[in-house]
Amino acid sequence: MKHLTFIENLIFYILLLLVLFLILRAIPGESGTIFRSKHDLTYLNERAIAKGGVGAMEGISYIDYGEVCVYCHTPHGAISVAPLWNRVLPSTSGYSMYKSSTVDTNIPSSPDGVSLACLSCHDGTVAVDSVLNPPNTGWIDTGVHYRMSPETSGQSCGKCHTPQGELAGLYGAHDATVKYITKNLADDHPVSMNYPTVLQDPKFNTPPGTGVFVNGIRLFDGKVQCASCHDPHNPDEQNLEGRAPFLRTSKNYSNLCMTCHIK
Amino acid sequence: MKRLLLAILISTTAIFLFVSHALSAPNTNGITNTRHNLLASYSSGMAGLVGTFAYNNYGEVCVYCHTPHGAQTGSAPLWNRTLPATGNYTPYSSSTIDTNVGQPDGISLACLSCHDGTIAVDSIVNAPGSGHYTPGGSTNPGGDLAPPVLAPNHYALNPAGGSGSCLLCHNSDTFSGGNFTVAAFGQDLSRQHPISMNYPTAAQDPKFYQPTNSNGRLAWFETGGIASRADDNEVKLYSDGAGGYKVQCASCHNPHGTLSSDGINLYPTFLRKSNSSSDLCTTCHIK
Repeated sequence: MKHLTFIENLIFYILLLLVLFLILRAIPGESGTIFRSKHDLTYLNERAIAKGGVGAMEGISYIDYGEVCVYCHTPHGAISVAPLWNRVLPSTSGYSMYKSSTVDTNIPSSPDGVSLACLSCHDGTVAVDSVLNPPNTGWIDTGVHYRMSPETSGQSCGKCHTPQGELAGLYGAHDATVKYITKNLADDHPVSMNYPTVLQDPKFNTPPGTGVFVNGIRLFDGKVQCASCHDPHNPDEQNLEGRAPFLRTSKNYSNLCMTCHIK
Repeated sequence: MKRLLLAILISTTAIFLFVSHALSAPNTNGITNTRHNLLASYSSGMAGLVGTFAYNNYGEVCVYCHTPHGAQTGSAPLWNRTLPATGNYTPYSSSTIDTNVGQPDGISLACLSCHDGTIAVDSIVNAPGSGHYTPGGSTNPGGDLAPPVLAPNHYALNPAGGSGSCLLCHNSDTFSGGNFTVAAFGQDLSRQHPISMNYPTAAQDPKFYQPTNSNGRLAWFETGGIASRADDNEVKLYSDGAGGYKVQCASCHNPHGTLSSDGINLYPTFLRKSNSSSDLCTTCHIK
C-alpha cells in the first residue's frame, strides 16, 4: 500500500475529526428528540445542574415518575384529545380568546382538540404531574405538585421562573414568563379556529388536501391548533435549525409565518 | 494620469449606481420587498447595517411588529412593539372639521410606535428564540441578546435627525435609500391627516360618502373581491367600541403593502389603492 505523505495524512485526520464532530453533534438531545429536552420532565434537574444551578424540579416540585413519556401519554386508559393522552385536561371555561377586527373565521369560546392538551400544562391550572394513569411502580408521591403558572407564590413554577416570583431567579432560574400562557389567550396567536377558505380570505395559502404543508406545518381536522406550528417532541435546543422553541420548521426570515400567511 | 482619473471616475460611478440600486426596496409582491421589511433582505447594502449599526438583527421579517405569544393587545393584531403613551400628541385641528379629533388610539398607536420617532425601531416585547421577553418591550428583550443579533445602536424615525435617527442618512431625495422625512411625524400630528376620530355621519357632514358595508368590527367601502370582508384594497374604518367607526392610519394604508392590479407591483407608499386622479381621497371625501 502506498504510504501517504505528511499532508495527505494531515488531511485524512482532519476529515476524520470533522466526521466525528458531525456525528457527535447529531446525537439526540441537541436537536431532534424529546429526551433531555425541556419537555423531558425527568431530566430538568440535570439541565439545571449543568448550567450551574440547583435541581429543584423532578422529585421536589413534582413527582419524578422515572419515565419520560408518561407525563403526557399512556398505553391504557387514555383520552383521545391527543394520541393516547394521559394528562388531566383543564376546564374549558374561563378562557379569554383572541380577538381582532380582521380575523376571518370564527374563533370558538374555548380551545379544543390538541391545543387543550398543550394547555393542560401551559395554562397553569393543572399540575405538571397530574396524569390519569401513572406508572405502576418506581415513584413516590411527595404531595408537591407545581403548575406552570406565573403566580408568584405557592405551588407555581413562576415562583422562581418569573421576575416577580417570591424566589425569582433562584439559583439562576430562567425567566419562563412567556411560556406560561395562562387562560388569557388574547395575547397569543389564535387556535382552534378553522383555517380560512379562499372565499373567506384570499390572503392565506391553501394547504394540501392532507392538511399538512410541505414543511411540516399542519392543520388538525381543518383547524389551526398549537401543534400546527409546534412539535412537542422535537426541540432544536441549540437553535441550529432555526426551530427553537419546538417549532416544526425554521422561523428564519419568518418562513414559518408565511407558510400560511400571504403578506 | 488622465486614464487613472477616468478609471477612478468610472468605477466610482459604477459603485454608486450599484449601491444605489442595491439600497432601495423594489416594492413588489409583499412586505418582504418593501421598506417595512426591517431585515432589508432585498438589499445587501442596507442589510449589512442591520445588527451591525442601525438596529438589532432579529433574523425574521414579521417579528419587528408581531409575535405569536405574549403580544400586546388593543392596537394591532399580535402586536410586538413597544406602544407610545397616549396624551402627548398634538392632534390635527381645523375650523371646518365635523367630528372631534382627540389623541390617537387603536391601531394608529401601532403605526405611531415607529412613525412618531420616540421609540427605537427594534424595541419589541418578544424576540425570536426561547426567552428574550420583556413585557412592554425593549431594545434588548430578556436582557440576554448579544451580537450578531444585538446592535450597538437602536435607531428611531426621529424627525430631529442626527445620530440615533434614521434621518441621519434618509434625509434627502438624493439619498439612494430614500427620503424618510415625510414619514417621521414626531408627536405633532397637526400637519398630518387627522386620525382616530369618528367618521362623520351624513347628518354631521353630507360631503362624505358613507361606507357601504359593516360587520360591527369594521366598516368599509366595498369595491369587489369578497363582499363580506374588507379586502386589502378597500378603505376601511375601525369600530370605536360604541357602535361608531373611526378613521385610522390603516384606513388608507396597508403596512404589508397592497398588490395592484398588475399582480406584481404594490401601490406606492403602502396605500390600499391608487391615488391617481385622487381616487383614494374621493373614496371618502365628496369634493
